Amino acid sequence: MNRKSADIVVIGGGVVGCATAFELARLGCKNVVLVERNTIASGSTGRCGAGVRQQFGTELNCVLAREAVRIFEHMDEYLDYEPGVEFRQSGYLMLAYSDQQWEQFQRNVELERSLDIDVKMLTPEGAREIVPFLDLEGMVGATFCQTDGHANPFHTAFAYAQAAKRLGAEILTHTSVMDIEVENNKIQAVVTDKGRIATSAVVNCAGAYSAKIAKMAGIDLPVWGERHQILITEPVEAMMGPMVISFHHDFYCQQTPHGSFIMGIGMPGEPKSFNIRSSVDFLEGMANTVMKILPPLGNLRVVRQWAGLYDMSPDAQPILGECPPIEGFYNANGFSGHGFMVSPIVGQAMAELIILGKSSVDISKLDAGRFERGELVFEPAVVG
Amino acid sequence: MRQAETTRTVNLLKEVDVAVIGAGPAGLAAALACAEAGVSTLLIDANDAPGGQLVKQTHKFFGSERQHAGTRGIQIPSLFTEKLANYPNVEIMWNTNASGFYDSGELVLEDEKRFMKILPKRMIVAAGASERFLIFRNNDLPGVYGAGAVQTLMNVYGVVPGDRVMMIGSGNIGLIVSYQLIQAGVDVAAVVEAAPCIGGYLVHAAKLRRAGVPILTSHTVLAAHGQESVTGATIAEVDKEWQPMPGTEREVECDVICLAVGLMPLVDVLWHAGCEMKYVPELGGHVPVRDENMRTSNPKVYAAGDSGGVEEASSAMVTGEIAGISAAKSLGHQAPGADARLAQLKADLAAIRSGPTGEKISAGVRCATVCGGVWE
Amino acid sequence: MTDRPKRHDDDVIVCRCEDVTLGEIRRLISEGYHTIDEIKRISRAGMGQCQGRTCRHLIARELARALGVPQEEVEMPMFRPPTRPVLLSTIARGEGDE
Repeated sequence: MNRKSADIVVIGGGVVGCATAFELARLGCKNVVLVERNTIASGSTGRCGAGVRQQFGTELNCVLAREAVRIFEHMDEYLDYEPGVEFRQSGYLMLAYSDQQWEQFQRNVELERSLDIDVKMLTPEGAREIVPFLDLEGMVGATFCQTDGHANPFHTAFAYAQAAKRLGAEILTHTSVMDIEVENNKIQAVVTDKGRIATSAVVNCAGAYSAKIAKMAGIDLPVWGERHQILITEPVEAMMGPMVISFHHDFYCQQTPHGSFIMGIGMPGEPKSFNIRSSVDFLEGMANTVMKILPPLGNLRVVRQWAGLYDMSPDAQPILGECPPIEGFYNANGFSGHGFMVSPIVGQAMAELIILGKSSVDISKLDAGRFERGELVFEPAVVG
Repeated sequence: MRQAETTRTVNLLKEVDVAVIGAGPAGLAAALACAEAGVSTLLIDANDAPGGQLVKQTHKFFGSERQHAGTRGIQIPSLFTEKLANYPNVEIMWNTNASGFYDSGELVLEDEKRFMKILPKRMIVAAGASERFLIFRNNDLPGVYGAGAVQTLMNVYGVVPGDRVMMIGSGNIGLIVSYQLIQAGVDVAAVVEAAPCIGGYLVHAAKLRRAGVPILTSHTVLAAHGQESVTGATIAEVDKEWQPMPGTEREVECDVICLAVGLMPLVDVLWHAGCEMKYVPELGGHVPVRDENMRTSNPKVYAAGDSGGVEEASSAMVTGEIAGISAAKSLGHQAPGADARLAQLKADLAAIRSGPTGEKISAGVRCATVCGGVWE
Repeated sequence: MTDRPKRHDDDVIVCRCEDVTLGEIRRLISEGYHTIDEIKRISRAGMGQCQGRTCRHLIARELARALGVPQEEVEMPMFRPPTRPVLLSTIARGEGDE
């Protein structure tokens, strides 16, 4: 690659970048270039917990997740992806451990039902009908949504990347963005270590590194990395359907279609960093927590532990949309741990916003300007 | 919403000056050097007895007396453990696996029942090597063995693996194990070697030829046959690109296929410790970049023996002792005469590597040694 | 799917933990997956019980051959703890007795 040009440069080959590149191409943008410094899904996408849920506490999050699920349900055909993205709707079981939390859950369910998301409220015993080996100590109640589930993050990202390529998008892996040229508040070019790409629009899908990218265009973006750790066990026969999640323990755990259990907990006091090394504290905390909530899982063996980065924002909500005063600079980052599950709808909304000037799901509240305006959006239902 | 319960950390953290992982020739020598220097030393091994690969080596050692020349490999571990028993500053844990090394400096050990956290000031990784595997059809049939497993069966348990063996690989291990099989009354159908010439010492090859065993160079195994276990194999000639030549296939009757296609350094814990690694084919695979004192790019971590590059037991004992003396010295402890001993060991190592296969090893070691021989 | 000439050992298993064949590895390489990490993610080769102790080297060799580069240029993925599978109950119990 020497000198070249693009209508739009998407920065970041995670699932959000790949979905955005595909949707841009689908809306007719002929010259989309996606730039990824490593390989597709090599960052947070490939390290995430793979869950997809619609149980949230704000209308916007519920709608985004609901629309994402609708896309996931037909994704293999939509993206013509033969291996399949392994989307399974085996539900999310969310556990409440205090009256205050249970009241919040009830408010969430009311909201979710008003948005056509079918969520059940369960007693602890009712929860145990879904996961028979659940320990009920301290549990006040639970909510369950059958249409929540999980998908394979690698396949989802690869599916979008391949579909984007078929529509003419160019995907440059092992290519790092070094600079973004701006003149008179207009994007001029993206400079990579493999050459310069003249363009008038950039979509910043760089995850935890989004602030570094924004800085290149002279923008201070309040996004930072925060390490989150996961482990996976040996595969065993199917014994647990839903993702089990407890905000009280900062815990989630699911069994993958392959039979392995994948689980994580938030570690208190995790600093802002790009550190993705594993810790033994996590291993111990995880083992203690999972044995408290799902005691028989103590009999499983851990085969691997790893860490990835949440791209955190001040209100733990995504930052989506154009970023004044720089014309042509768009953000799709700050997902704070929920990027994978909303990526299909975020890709669509971003493409609509860029090509048509307006997205079918209203994402205007999630622009970067909300922090200056003091209009933060707080989501009461998040892990970590 | 951050309401994470602080989970009780049940696991105690035990401090030690030097942790030595692996009680083979390198680890034993490293632990003894640390013991002599007076630092608290923890030696761990995944097996229930010391020696590593030494327990399989019934042959006498060549070389210098300092490296136990004239002694059979199998006798060497007890020489070390008898000495180690005199040092109260040494603790040994058998049946214990090094599970992980973390940025916090914690080394995690596990013995199936217990999960133990150690905070060593220095760590010497002497974990040895694992056997390489080969891709061919039905390579998972019972009767396909690694040469190490065959040696353990025969030399440790006194059991022969079968009646008629086809050996894959003509390096020293392939040749020596073939000869040991013949001595144990087992028929060796052939030694198959993909390279155009024999890999090991010609003295060993000559013994096999006298026993009537064909050594087929430029040949490879394509498939194992059999329903429940191996009853035969298909072999074929290979061209210069190592590809089998059509029409040269033939069947060999055997009930054991023994793979002696080389060893790979066991380096997992070095990866965990963030040591700079380098692929050096002469040393068997990925090895840590090190200085001449066996220190890796992580200043707390040393490598010794096959973990630093596949050689043989004599050099493993030397690199182990070098690592042990150096690790203790970096903590401000050394036995009388340690500096002279270190110089002597480096000279011994150079002498061992000047032997017949030494040229390749020396080239590999040069490639794996940090520029200038010392870390900045 | 890219057309690729069939080879005599395509059906030989490379990753025993996850039952991945040499042919599948070759197909992925021909489709443009040129790192061990990508091949692992898409095929699960090396994600099983043994964490790729054997197969990652075989995949590296296959990649080196297909791409015409020396094996040292094929990037190795990290080995992550634990070195062998450990029971969650062992981790939780620590050094304490049952």
